[in-house]
Amino acid sequence: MCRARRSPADPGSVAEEERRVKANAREYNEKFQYASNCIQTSKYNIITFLPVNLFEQFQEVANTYFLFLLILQLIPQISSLSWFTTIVPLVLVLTITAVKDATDDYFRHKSDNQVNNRQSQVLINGTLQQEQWMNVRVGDIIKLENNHFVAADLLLLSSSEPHGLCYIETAELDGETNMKVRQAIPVTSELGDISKLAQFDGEVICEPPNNKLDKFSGTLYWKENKYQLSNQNMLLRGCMLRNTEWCFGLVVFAGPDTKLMQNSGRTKFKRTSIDRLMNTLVLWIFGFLVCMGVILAIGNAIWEHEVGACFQIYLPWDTAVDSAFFSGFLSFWSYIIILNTVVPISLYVSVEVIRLGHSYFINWDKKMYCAQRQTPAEARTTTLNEELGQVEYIFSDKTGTLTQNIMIFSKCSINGRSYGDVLDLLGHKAELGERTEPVDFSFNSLADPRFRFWDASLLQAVQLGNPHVHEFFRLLSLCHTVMSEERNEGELYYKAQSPDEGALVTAARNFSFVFRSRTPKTITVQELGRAVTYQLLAILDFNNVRKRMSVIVRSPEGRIRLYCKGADTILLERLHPAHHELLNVTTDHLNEYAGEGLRTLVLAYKDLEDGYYEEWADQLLRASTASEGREDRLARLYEEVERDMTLLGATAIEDKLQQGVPETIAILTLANIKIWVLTGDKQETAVNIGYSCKMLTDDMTEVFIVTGHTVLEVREELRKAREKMMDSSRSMGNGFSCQEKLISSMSASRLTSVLEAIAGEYALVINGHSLAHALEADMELEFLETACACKAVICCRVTPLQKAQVVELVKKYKKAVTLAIGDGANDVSMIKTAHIGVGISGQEGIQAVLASDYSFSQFKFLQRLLLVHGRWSYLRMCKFLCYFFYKNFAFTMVHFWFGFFCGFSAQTVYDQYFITLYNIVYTSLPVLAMGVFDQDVTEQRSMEYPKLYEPGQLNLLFNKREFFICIAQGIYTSVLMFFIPYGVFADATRDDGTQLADYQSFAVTVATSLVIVVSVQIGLDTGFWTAINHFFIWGSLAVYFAILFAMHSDGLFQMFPNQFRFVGNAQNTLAQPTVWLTIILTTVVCIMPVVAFRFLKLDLKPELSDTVRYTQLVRKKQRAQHRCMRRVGRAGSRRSGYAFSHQEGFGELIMSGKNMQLSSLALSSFAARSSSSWIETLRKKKGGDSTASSPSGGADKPLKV
Amino acid sequence: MYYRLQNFYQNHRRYVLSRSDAQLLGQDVNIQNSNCEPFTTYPNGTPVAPCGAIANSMFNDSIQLFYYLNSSTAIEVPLLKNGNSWWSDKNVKFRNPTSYNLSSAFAGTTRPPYWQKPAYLLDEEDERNNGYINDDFIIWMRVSAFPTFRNLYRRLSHTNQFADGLPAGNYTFHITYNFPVTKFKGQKQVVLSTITWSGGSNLFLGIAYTVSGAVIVLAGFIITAIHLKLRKKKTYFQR
Repeated sequence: MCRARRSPADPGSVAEEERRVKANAREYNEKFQYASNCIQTSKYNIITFLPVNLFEQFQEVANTYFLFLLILQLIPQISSLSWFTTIVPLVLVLTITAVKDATDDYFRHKSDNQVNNRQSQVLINGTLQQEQWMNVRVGDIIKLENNHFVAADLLLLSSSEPHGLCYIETAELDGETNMKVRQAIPVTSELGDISKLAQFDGEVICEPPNNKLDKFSGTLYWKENKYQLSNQNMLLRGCMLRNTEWCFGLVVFAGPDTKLMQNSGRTKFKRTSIDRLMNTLVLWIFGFLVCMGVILAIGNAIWEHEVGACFQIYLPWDTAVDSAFFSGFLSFWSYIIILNTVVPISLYVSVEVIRLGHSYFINWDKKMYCAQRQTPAEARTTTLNEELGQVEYIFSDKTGTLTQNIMIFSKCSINGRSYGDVLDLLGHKAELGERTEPVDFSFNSLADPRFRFWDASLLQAVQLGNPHVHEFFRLLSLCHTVMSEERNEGELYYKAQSPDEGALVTAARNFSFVFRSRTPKTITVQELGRAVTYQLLAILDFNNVRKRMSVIVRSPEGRIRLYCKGADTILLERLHPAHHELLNVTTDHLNEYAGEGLRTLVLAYKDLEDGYYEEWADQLLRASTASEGREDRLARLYEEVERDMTLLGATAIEDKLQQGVPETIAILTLANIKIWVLTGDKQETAVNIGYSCKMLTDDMTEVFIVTGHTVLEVREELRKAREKMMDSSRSMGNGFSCQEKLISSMSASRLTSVLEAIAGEYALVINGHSLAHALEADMELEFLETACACKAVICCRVTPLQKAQVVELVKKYKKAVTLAIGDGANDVSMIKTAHIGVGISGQEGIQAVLASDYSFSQFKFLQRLLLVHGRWSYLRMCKFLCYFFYKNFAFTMVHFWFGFFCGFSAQTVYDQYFITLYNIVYTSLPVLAMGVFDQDVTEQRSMEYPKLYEPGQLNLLFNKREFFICIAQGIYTSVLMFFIPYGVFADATRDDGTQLADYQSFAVTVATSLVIVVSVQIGLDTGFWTAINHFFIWGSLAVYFAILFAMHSDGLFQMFPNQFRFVGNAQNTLAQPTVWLTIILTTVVCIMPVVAFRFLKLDLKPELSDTVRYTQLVRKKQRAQHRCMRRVGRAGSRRSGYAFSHQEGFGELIMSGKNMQLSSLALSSFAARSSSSWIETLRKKKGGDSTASSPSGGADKPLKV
Repeated sequence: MYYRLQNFYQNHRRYVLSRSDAQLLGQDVNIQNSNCEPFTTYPNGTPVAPCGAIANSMFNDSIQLFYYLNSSTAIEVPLLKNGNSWWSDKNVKFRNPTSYNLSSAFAGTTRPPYWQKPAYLLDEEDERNNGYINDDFIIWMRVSAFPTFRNLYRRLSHTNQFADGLPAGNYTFHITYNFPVTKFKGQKQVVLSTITWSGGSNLFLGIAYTVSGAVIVLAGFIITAIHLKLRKKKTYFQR
C-alpha cells in the first residue's frame, strides 16, 4: 500500500541531515524521496504471508527443534518412531499460529487503511481537492477545518483567525486537553485565499525528522527573505484544530517522519516472564535430554560390545553398523527422538490456547463492560494474561486515565458560609444519590444546561440579593481570560484556556452573572438579566510564581475595583488583617474542600481610589515599556496593588476523577503494587490529583519534591531525600543505627533493599526537567533507589519519551513486571515499553488503545483485570505448566528405564499411536480445562483479600524450584510406572496359563496405568470443578479406551497389517485380573505420596489462599480482618489549584485584542498597533522561561534518547 | 510346561521390527519393503517365509516329559500343543496363505536359514496347527517384554492318572537340543507351573500389595497424629 517508503531506519539510505521542502512543488520535493503520509503498521501482505510467517515461526527455537526431529526420524537407521508422531503436532502448531498471526495482521491492515483513507483537502494546481491522507506529500499545502485531526506535521501558513492564530488541542500528543495557540509567521498569515497560497513558493529548510515534540528549528526562504521558524509555528500530526474555522499549512514531515510516529517507538514482541522461564526450562530439559541420550548411547555401545556381539547370530547388526561405538552413536539419535516428548510441542499450543481462553474471559467480563460508553474490556494481545497476575509497578497517566478531565464547580464558601453540600431534612450532609434533584436553572435563558449544582440555597441567596454572593459571582464573571462566542442569540460558547476557568465562568453564568462578550477594553456581563459593561483597565496576568490573577475594572458607576483570584497560600497573606474571623472560617472551609480532594481558589477584591489607580497605571505603563528589568518591575507593581484585599470567599472545583479511582488505588496498594503517575501536566495539578486519589495522603511522613534544573541540583535533592529516609528510620530505632557503617559500605543494590525496608511513608514528586537529568546513565540508579523507597511517585511535565524511559529504567534494574496505563497518544511509547500496556478507550482518541495490550474504558477495571483475571491467569498457567511437565516426564522417562532392559536399543515402551496421541488427545483436554477454568478462590474473595495477589509478584507458584518438584514427581511416577509392571510381568502368565509377559501386553498395561494416574492427578490438581472439567477428564479416559480398542481391532489390522500390530491386545490384556491389580497398585502408589504431601502442607503451612478457601468452606465471614480499605479521609492539607493548566500571557493577549474576531473588535487599529509588542513579550517570556522556572522549560532541555 | 530363556533380547528394537505381519496374515506381499532384513531372501532371490529375525530365531528344542510309574517304567505325560496361544492371534493375526494344500501355498518360498524344516511342516499331524498358525510359532512371534521370559510350551492333558495334575513322583525330561544359547551367554530352563484365578503364581504382586498397604496405613496414622496435634496448637493461638 505504501510505495517508495524511505524509512529512516533503512541502512541503505543516508541519514537525512536537513530537510528542504518547497511549497507547491511536488517535482522538486520528489527528488529527496521523503516518506509519504502513508503509515504502515502491518507486517505481511497476501503474497509474503506464508514465507515470512513460516520464517518467523521457525525462528522459534521450539519449532526448529521439532523440524530437526522430523528430519532425524526420516533416517531409517535411527528412526525409532514413525515420522507422523512429530509431523502431526508440528503442522497443527504451525497452522494455529499462522491463523492467529493472519488475523492480527488483518486488523492492523484495517486500522492502517482507516487512518490512511481519512480525507483532507489538498491544494493542487490552484484548487482544493479532496485527497486521502496517504496521498498527501511533503510540500503540499493542505486546508484543515475545525475539529479535524492534523494529517501531518505542518507549518502553519494562515488561518481564519486574525494574525494567523490558531488553536489546537494536543491531547493525542501529550495528553493535555487545554488549548494551545499556534501562530503563523506574519508574512504568511496574510495568505488567506487560495489564489495567493497557490503562488506561495517558499522553501523551508529545517531539522531532519526527530521525536522532540516541543522543539522545531527551521528557516523559511521566501522572496529573498529569511524567516526563523519555531515550534510555535508548527501543527503536529495528531493534534486537533479547535475554535478555528480553518487554517492552511505546509506539509513538512509526513507519515513515519512525523513527530507523533517518531515518538511511537518500535513495536516489540512482548514476552511474559513465564515465557522466558519456560524457554530456559525447555533448554534445561533439552540438556537433560542430551544427557539421557548420552547415558543410553554409552549403555548401547557397552551392550552391543558385551552382549549384542554374541547375540548377532540371531540379530546381526545393520549393514551400515560396523562397531559397537557406531551403534551407540546411532542409538543416541534414536533416543533423542523417543525422549523428545519431555519437551512436548503441544506445550506451546496449549499455552496459547489457554491464554486465548483467558483473553475471552476478559472480553466477556460483564463487570468490565462500561454501559455508558458501550465498550467492553478487550484483550488485544492474547499472550500476556498470566503476567497480569505478577504486576509490581503500575505507571499511570493522569489526564483521562485517573481523571475524566472534566472540571466541575462543586462548592464554594461565600462570606463564611459554605454552599454546595447536599443536606438532608435534618440538616446533615447527605451523600449524593440518584434521586437528588439538581438546582433548576430554567429561569435563566442563558444558563448552560449541562451545569449541575445541588445546593438550592446558593441560588436563593443570589435571588434574595445577598451582596456578598453577588460580588462573588461578579468576580467570577469578570476575573478570567475566557473568550466568549455567541453564534446565535443566547447560545454562548466559552473558549477557556483551562478547564478550571471554564468551570468557574460557567458557574457564574448559571447563577445569573453571565459573561457575554469582551473587547480589549470592556467586559459585558449580564447581571441578573441586566447587561452591564465594565471597563477593563488592566489584567494582572497569571504566572507560576504569582499563582494568582487579577483584573482591575471600572464599573458603570465609575468605581474602580480590583478582583483577584488565586492560590490560597498566596492570597490569604495579602488580605486585609481586619477580617480575621472571616479568614478563619474560610480557612476551615478550604481545609474541608481540600480534604475532599477539590481544587480550591480564594477570591478577594479591593477598591481602588481613582487617584491611586491613575498613579499606579502610570507606573505600569512606564514599566511595561521599559527595556530593562521589565518583568521585575511589573511584578513589583502587581505586588503593590494586590495588597490588603477583602476576602470574598473560596471556590472548590472538582477535577472529576474517574469512578472508583481512589478505591482502586487503595486496593492495588494493598496488593503491594506500586503506582507511579507519569503525567504531562503541571506539578500542582499532578500533586493535587495525587491527593484526591489518595496516592498521597497527609499521613505521609514526607513528600519530596525534586525540581532541580541542573545535574548537581537534582543529585543533591535526591541525596537529601534518601538521607532523610535513612535518618528517620534510624531514629525510629529499628536496628538501622548499628548497621550504619554497613550501610555506607554497601553496594548500590544492597542499598536499595535497605531503602525499601524503610518504615514510614514517603512520596516523590519529580519534574520533567529534573527527570531528564535523573535519567542520565550515572544518576538513574540513584533516582530509582529513591523512587522505589517511596510509596508513591509522581512525575510531572514528562514527555512521552521520558515516560518510556522511566518504565525502561524500572524494567532494567528491577526484576519486576511493569504495567503502563494511559489513554492518549502521549502514552503510547510507555504502553509499548512496559511489560503490559493498558489503554483506556476514552475521549482522547484511539492511539493508546491501538498500541495497548488490554483496553477498557474505566481505570477502576484495572483492579478486576489484575486481581481477578490476572491472578487467575497466573495461577492457572502455573498449575498448567507444573502438571504439563509432570505428565510428560512421567510419560517419557519410562523409556529411559526400559532402555536398561532392551539392550538400549531405543525400543519404545508404548505403541507408536499412543505416543502420537498421548499429548494431543488423551491428556490434553483435561489439563486445558484446568488451565482455562481453574480458580482457587472466588472472584469476590480475590478482590476482598488483595494480599492474595502477592504470590504472583514473588513468582512463587511456578519457578525453578517448583519445576524441579514437578520433574521429581514425574520421574518418581515413571519409576513406579515401569518397575511395578516389570516386577509383576517377570513371572506372570494369564489365567489360562498362556503368555502375559509379552511386549505388547506390557505396553498396554503401562499405557493404561499412565493414563489413569495422570487423570487422577489432574483430578487432584483441579481446584474448581466445572461440568467441562468432568466431561474432559472422564471423556479423555473414555476416549483412551475407545481408541485403544479401535486400534487393536481386527478391522484395522486386516487393512494395514504392518501398521496395527497390536491386534487383539486390548481385549486380551485388559481381561486379565493381574493387569488390573497392577494398574491399581501403580495408581495408588503414585498418588498416595502426593496426597499425603499436600495434606501435610495444608495442615502445617497453609497459604493465604488455602486459608481463604477454608474460610469459604466453613462459611465463616471474617471479612473485617483482612479488609483495611479505608474510607476516603476527611482531613486534608490545603491545596490550592488555580488554573493549573493555565498559561501565562493570555491576559496580554486579551488586552491587546489580538485574539478577537476582527468583526467584533471596534479597536482594530489598536490591535494592529500593539500586535508586534505582545508577541514579542510572549516570545521573550517563553525564552526566559526555558531557562527559568517555567514548567515548559524542562522540555527544552536536550533529552537523552 | 514352559520354556524359559534368559538373556535373550526379544525386546530389542530391531528384533521387534524384524517381521512382516502381512506375510504372516497369508497375504502375498513383497517382503523386501518390510523390516525383515537380513532374513528376507536367500542370495539366489528366493524369499524367506516367514521372514525376519524373530521367525528365524524360533525356539526349536523339543521337550518331552516322562513320568515314572515305578523305578523302571516311564510313561510319557500327555501334553497338549493346541490352544496354547491367544485366540485372537490364532484366528485373526496369523493365517496361512490360501491354496489347495499347505505345501503348495508355501511354494516359491523357502524356510528361514536356521530352521530345520519349512513352515508347512511345523506340525505334520494337525492341519490346523501347521504353517503360520502353529501355536509354537505364534507364541514365539509374540515377543517378550524383557530379556528373561518364559513361553508356554505344552499344557498337561488331564487324562488318566493326570486328571488332577501331575502326581508326585519322578519325572524325566527328554530334550532334543536344537536351540543354542551358550553363544549369546544365555540360559534355557524348563518350568512346570500351575495357575490360579489370577494367572500363574506371582510372588511380587503379593509382596508389593502387602508392603504398600502397610506403608499407607502407617502414613495415615502419622498424618492423623500430626493433624490432631496441630489443631490443638491452632486453637491455642486463637485464644
